[in-house]
Amino acid sequence: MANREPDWSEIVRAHGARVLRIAVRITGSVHDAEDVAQDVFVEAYRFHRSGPVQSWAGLLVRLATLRSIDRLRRGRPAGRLADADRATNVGPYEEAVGRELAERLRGAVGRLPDQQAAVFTLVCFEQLTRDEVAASLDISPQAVSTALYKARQRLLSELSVFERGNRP
Amino acid sequence: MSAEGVASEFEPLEPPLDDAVRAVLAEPLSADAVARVHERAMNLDAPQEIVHRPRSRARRGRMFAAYAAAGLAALVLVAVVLTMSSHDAWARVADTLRGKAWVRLTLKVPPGTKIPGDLSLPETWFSAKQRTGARTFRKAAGFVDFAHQETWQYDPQKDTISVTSTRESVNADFGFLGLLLTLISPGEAAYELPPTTVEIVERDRREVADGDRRWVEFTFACRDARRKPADFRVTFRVDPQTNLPFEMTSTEKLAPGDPATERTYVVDYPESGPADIYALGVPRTAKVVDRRRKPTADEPQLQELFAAYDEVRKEPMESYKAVVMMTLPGKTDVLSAYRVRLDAEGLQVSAVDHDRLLALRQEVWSGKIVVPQDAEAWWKDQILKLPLGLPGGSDLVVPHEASYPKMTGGSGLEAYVPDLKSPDVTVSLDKQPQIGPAGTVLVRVRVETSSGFNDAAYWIAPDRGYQVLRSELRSKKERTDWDIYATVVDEVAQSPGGRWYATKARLGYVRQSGDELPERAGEDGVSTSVYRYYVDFQ
Repeated sequence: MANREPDWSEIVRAHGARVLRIAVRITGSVHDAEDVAQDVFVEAYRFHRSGPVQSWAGLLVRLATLRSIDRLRRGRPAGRLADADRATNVGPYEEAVGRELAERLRGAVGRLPDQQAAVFTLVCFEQLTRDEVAASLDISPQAVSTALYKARQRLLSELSVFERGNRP
Repeated sequence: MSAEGVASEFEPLEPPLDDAVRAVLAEPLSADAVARVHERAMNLDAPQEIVHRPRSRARRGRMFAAYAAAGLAALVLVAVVLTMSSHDAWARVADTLRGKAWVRLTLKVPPGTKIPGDLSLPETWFSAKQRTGARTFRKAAGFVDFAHQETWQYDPQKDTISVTSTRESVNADFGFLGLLLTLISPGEAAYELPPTTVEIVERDRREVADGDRRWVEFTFACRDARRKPADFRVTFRVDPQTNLPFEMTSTEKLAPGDPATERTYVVDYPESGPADIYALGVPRTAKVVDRRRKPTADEPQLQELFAAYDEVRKEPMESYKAVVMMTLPGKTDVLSAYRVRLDAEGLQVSAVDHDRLLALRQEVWSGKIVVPQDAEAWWKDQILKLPLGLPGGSDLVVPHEASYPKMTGGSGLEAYVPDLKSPDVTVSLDKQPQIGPAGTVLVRVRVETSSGFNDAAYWIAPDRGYQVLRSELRSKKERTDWDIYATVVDEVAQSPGGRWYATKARLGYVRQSGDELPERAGEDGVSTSVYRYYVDFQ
């Protein structure tokens, strides 16, 4: 039986939460993330109308990552995670310190080159495997490893001030 | 992070990076936000995308709502014509329309546009004779019986019909009609609509010829305070022979800076129309939920309390400068700080430069700087010397706003108190609560949402300027531990002119309503933040 191209509602249902999750983790703002998700789905909708897509997951993950990084670089998030959008208590660590760390990390990710930023966020925020990242970004697995190594070195140097011993 | 997940394939992350990634991963994603994204994305697959209506990020993707509102606006604007003063040039058109059994508006799409089989074009119906209106959009439908004060709305996803009173604020779209009925045709006040935010700011009539064809165009420039941008325009093309509109076009910007968007509706006049919501294709098996509010015994007292709260919080405050510091319980280290200024130019709030504050904290951590015994005073002085960073901050960092929060369940952006007329909002009053700060009354609010509910509780102190000394928020579909977000205003003061403001507040999570906020940082994975406000009146 030939593979049926899923209809739009199936695509949204299957991937909507993931697109939003990627955007929230990268931008740190639910408002910005919702806008990014909308832009991603509009872009994807054009693909949907123009013909079959080989991998909806791959396309949407890629778009969500790249558009979120764009948004992150554009400036300060439109708003912190709103209380109403907090689904659970925040933080496995001290809330405020955690928030500070998260914002620092986002700022540093925003200063990475595109490919390094995308690879780092997909590996560390979305926890994709090397092959999944490679497929999503249309690069080789070796390029994933290289980009991740460089991203980690750079982020580590930016966050070294937060070494546990340096904190109160 | 370093122990599981990607660890098997990649080297574990080093501590500060590992902690930072963990902090990001710990941030939750609410079902409400996911539902909003789904709604926005699903509605791309609708006629407005086929006609290439520009999107707008500022609209927050409420495409369905925008379209539904457009449908209602169309309904309302037919009513504009129907209710125009007889002194107006519109009177003849209005008379003619009033005499028609039904007026129907159907969205016009470019010739050859392929409409998916299961979709029909949005329609709006109105009958002045029967005092009813209706609309359809995709599989959703709405039916309004003005005479019986019933608004029926069908949600196809839930297969549910909700019934509300037309006069309730949830149906504020009809407020437009209400204003017009009140201002132009008081005799039609029987429509009993909620207060309107829409006004007609200008009207225009011109005759148009295109070859042999001639028509008259009537244009209304309208302003709706709830929209951004507020201005929009509606134009009717009227056949001068019959005095009947044959087309209506609405023109609006969906966000500031967007190009104006036009939607055109074909107007025709069927002899029969929908008698109820089922005539619009709604299945008779759909569940009917009667959401008409039944006033409670508390309502008069709640109205009084909210009116007092609203009045007091609007009282002017003298000019002041303040330093606001956020710390953790039992610690003097300042995690973030703000400088607030209120004067003739208004309110200005700025965070202190985060990098400079961090550098100062590092010197304290390393022992290069020894903080004197009066740590608070020392930090305050230091913060006054630090440069400012980004402007802005939440209401909680503003001393005279921290104890006057915007309560949940309000109708409209500027509403600070729950809307007692909304069917989505349930409010109760406990005049002698067993929990919470002494000398307060407790207001509990539940707001039903499309994906669950939001619960809130406010402990209000009538003898201390109606300040909210404790509030709790819970936005959940199911209960988990530590899911109540609480703000406690521990210390308050009065300005020289008698205006109340906060001097110390704490916020964090509690397990049960009324519980004390955890005193130790990081206890059970949650932390309480402590805000201190140092206000100097000028």
